[in-house]
Amino acid sequence: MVSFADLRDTEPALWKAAADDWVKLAEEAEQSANDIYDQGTSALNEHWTDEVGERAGQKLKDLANSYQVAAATIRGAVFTLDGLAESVETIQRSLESAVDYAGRYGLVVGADGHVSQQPGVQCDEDEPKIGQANQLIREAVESANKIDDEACAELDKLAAAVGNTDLDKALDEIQQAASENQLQLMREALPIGKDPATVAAWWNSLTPQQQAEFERAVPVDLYDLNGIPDDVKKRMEGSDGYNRIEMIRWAQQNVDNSDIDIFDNNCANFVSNSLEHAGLDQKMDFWAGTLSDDSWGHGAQTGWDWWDAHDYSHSASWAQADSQRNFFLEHGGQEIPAGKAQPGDVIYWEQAGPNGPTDPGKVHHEAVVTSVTPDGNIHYTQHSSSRLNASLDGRLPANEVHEGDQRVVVVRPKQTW
Amino acid sequence: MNLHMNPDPVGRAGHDLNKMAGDAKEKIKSLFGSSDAAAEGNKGWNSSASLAACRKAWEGRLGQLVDQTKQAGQALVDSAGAVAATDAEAADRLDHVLDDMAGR
Repeated sequence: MVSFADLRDTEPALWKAAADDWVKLAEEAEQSANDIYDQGTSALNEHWTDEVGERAGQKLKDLANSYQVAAATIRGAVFTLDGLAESVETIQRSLESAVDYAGRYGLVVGADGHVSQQPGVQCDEDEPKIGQANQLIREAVESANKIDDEACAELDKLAAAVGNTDLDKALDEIQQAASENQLQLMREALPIGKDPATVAAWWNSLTPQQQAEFERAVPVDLYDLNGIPDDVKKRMEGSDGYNRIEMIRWAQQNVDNSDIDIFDNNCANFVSNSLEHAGLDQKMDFWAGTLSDDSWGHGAQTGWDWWDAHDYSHSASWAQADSQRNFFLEHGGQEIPAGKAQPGDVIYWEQAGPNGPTDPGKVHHEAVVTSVTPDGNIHYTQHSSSRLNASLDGRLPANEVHEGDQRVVVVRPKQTW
Repeated sequence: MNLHMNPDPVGRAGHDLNKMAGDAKEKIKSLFGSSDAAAEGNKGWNSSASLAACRKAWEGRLGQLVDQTKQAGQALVDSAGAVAATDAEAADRLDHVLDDMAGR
C-alpha cells in the first residue's frame, strides 16, 4: 500500500525512463520481425523452392510473428508505465499543494501525513484548516493507491501474456486493454465527484503544462468536471463549426453501436456521424446533391440498411475515407502535424508504400482522435472493426508489416459553408 | 530427394540472422536496466513488484526468441553448406539438419 511518504518520495521519472527503454525493446522486436521477413523469408522464397524450403520458410515466418506478438505486448507495458508516471506526477503535485497549504497556516505535517497544530498550540480557528489539509492529503494518497492497483493489475496481465502467440490477440485484446488503461490511470488522477470548489482548487494547483496534458488526454472526463473554468471548457469545444468534446463523446459512446454500420466498411461513415452529431452542418451541392465532390452529407434514410447503402443518398465524402480527406482539405480544413494532433481531429491512414490495400497516395482508413496522452501517443476510436481509444503508436508498426508503409495524416475539419 | 536450393544466398541469409541475433542479445539485456532502477527506486508501490515480474518474464521471452533466431540462422548456414558440399553424404546430412530446423 502506498503511504504518504511513499507518494511524497516517489520518482515518476524512473518509470518514464523505463517506459522509454520498453519502447526501444518493442522497436528492436519489430525490427527483428522485419529483418526476418526481408532477409530470411524472402531469400528462401526465391532461392529454396522445394518442399523443405517451404517448411523452413514457414518456420521463419512463425519466428517473425513471435517477434511481432512480443512487440505488440511490450508496447502495452510502455502505455502502463507512461500512464503511471504521468498520473502520479499530478497526484504528487496535489500532495505538495496540500503540504504547502498546511505550512502556510503554521500547521505540522507528520511523517505519516497527518496534519496537526504545532506542539503546545491550541487554537480552535485552525480546526477547519487542519480538516481541509488532512482531507487533501488523504485524497491524494487514495488516488495514488487506486492508480497503483490499476497499474499493478495491468503489468501482471502483461507478464502473464508472455506465452501468447496470437498476434490478433496481442493487438486487439492485450495491447488494447493497456491502451485504455493508460487513459484510466489519468482519469484516476481527476477529482471526479468532488464539489466545484475542490475541482477549481485542484485545477489551479496544476502547472499550465499539466493542465494542457489533461485537456488532451481525458478531454470528456475533464470537461464534465463541475468547477473547471468556463473559458477552458469553451476552448476545448473548439471553434471549427463543431463541438470537439461532443464529437469525442459521441464516438466513445457509440463505438459498439452497429446500428449505424450500413456499409461494408464504416470507418468514414463513423467519423461523419461523429462530426454531424457534434454539430457540423452538411454541405449539399444544389444541382448534383450527394453525387457531387462538393458535397458532404446524406439524404433521407429509410432505415433499411442495404437500400440506404446503395441508393446514392450519401456523398462519397461521407462514406469513403479518401474522398472525405480530400473534401475537408478542400473546404477549410487543414492538415496538422501528428505531434500537434488534438482530440476531435480526424486521423487518416494514407498508403505510402507498395503492396497495401490501396494505391500509394490514397487513404484507406480513418478514425476519430479521442485522446493524446502526454507521451505523444495518439489514441483513436473507430468502426470496422470497433476500437475504443486504440493506440496509434501501438498498432502502426504491425499495420506497416502487413500493409506496407503508411503516412498518418491528421486533419482538422473546419466548417466554411 | 528433389533439391531446389541456391546455397549461396540461403547461406548468406543464415549468416545475417546469426549476426542479427548476436547484436540483439546484448542490446536487449541493457534495456531492462532502467526497469530495475524504477522498481528499486519506488519501493512502496505494488506496481514496482509487478514491473520487476514483467521485466523478468519478457527478458526471458526475448532471450528465447533471440536463441531461436540464432538456431534458425545456423540451420540455414548448415543446410546451404550441406548442399554446396555435394558429397555422397550430403543428402543424409541435409535431412538431419532440416529435421532439426523443423523442431523434430
